[in-house]
Amino acid sequence: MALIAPARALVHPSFIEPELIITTSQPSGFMEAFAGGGLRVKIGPADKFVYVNRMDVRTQVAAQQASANLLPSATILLDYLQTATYLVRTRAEYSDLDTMDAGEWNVALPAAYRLASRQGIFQYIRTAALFGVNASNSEGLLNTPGATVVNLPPDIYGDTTMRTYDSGQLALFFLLQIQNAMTRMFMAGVPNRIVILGPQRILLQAQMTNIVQTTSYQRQGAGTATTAQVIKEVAGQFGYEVEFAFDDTLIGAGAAGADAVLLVVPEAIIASTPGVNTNEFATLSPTLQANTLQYADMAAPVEVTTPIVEGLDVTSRMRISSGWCIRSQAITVLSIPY
Amino acid sequence: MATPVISFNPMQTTSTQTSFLLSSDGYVQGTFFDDPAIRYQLEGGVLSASATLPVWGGIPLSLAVPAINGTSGQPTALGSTVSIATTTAASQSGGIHAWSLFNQASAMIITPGSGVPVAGPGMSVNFARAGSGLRIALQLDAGLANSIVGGAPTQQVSWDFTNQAITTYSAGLGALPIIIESVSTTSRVVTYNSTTGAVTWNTQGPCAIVRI
Repeated sequence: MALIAPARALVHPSFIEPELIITTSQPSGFMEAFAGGGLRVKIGPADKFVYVNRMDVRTQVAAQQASANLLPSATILLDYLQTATYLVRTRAEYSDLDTMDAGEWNVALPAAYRLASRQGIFQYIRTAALFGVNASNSEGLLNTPGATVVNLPPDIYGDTTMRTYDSGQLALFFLLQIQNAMTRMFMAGVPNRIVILGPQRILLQAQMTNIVQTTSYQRQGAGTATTAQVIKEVAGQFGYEVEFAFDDTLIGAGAAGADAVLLVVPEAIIASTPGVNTNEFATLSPTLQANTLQYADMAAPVEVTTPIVEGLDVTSRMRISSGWCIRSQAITVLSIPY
Repeated sequence: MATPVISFNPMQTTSTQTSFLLSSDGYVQGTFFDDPAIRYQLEGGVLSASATLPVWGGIPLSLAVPAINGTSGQPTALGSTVSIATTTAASQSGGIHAWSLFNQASAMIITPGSGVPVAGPGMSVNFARAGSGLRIALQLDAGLANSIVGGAPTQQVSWDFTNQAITTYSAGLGALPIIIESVSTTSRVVTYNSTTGAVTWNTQGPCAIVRI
């Protein structure tokens, strides 16, 4: 696009503050929802798809006091999962005259274009992570087939929105979702990381404002702790590290216009017990300890700079996949009306 | 081949919804229990060029004796031509002569969103003939699992040629020439979507071990 660095009318004498007011975009916490808290930088710049192979097993044994010869067998099955990758590109062109015009405003134009290009790509990676590049192909964490979808039920006073909901009951609601997620994955008692990703107006209210009201009976955090503190403390006592991450593109993205809040268990900790391990098969390696993945070819966009007539052309590019939940039990999509 | 027999949906993002199980106990439809005495009954054939449906493991097959070797090649090398059986009695056209199997069938194909290995027309199909004595896992009609338990291994059952599963005996369908050995309701069984052509696994389905 263009650089708009106009001439300006100034009064002399005057002082121009050298530091600028730069538009700030929300630094989204969406990457927390992925295994390892970041992109999986593994693919090549030309790879069109990512495949993950999967192995399943069905077992049978016979048990008799004496030995018989007709025995059952185990069956091992292999299949694969896939997601598409997309090349995200953007272009910037400028000349030495543009650079001088920007310099009049104390702006280093090549650096400004570089960061602008990166921000465009990074914000699109966020879109791809949450909503998918092509939602109809089941891309994006929100579109995970088979994800658990929960609408916030009314509290005991009949309140249904974040602004009115009983703070203590909201903490119990979140703790129940954590409990259900861990139960689905047979990870009860296995210390793990849980990421709650949602809009600021939902989660910050849970962190700051929603102090658990006192009641005629004793309850966790009453009068002292907020909803989020109760969640973090109670879950933390059993080894679950709850992290809150913010992204306001989830506003209105839930069911019937409610705000969407993702409760994600990004890593699958393969639980095993010493000695007789009923999960022995899963100790075969290599095993992928990730539930949610977003692939990329580079950690940051590659820049290709080309001289053009009277200036430079800089394209930035990065190949990414959409957000991909390979084990759909790891995601709960909560719809919480504001 | 007019219409594709094997579903292919190249852009679909797929995920597993069943990678966490309480127990791995169960069977997999279309496989036989390893048996050093009769494993050599596993035979290879080729799916008829006129087949309009794919073949996966655990389906009754009708066999045709291959053409005589001649100057144009050796058709017998491919084995019997197989097609999906349409009736029970082996003496009738389309009757059951064999059962398709996944064992060693590593040339069968899976595609995105269609995770059950299948063979299309002209592809190799592994099977065991009825009477070979192998113990194979076949899909059961969901309502039948509990009623079979406790009954005689020789109890009469029929084959549902639409849903490709063992169903309640009816005189019209005829009795399957099998012996029922055991039943599981936590097995992997096959589901066919006739609209999309996708062949997928139901990972907690009913299955029986039968001796064919």
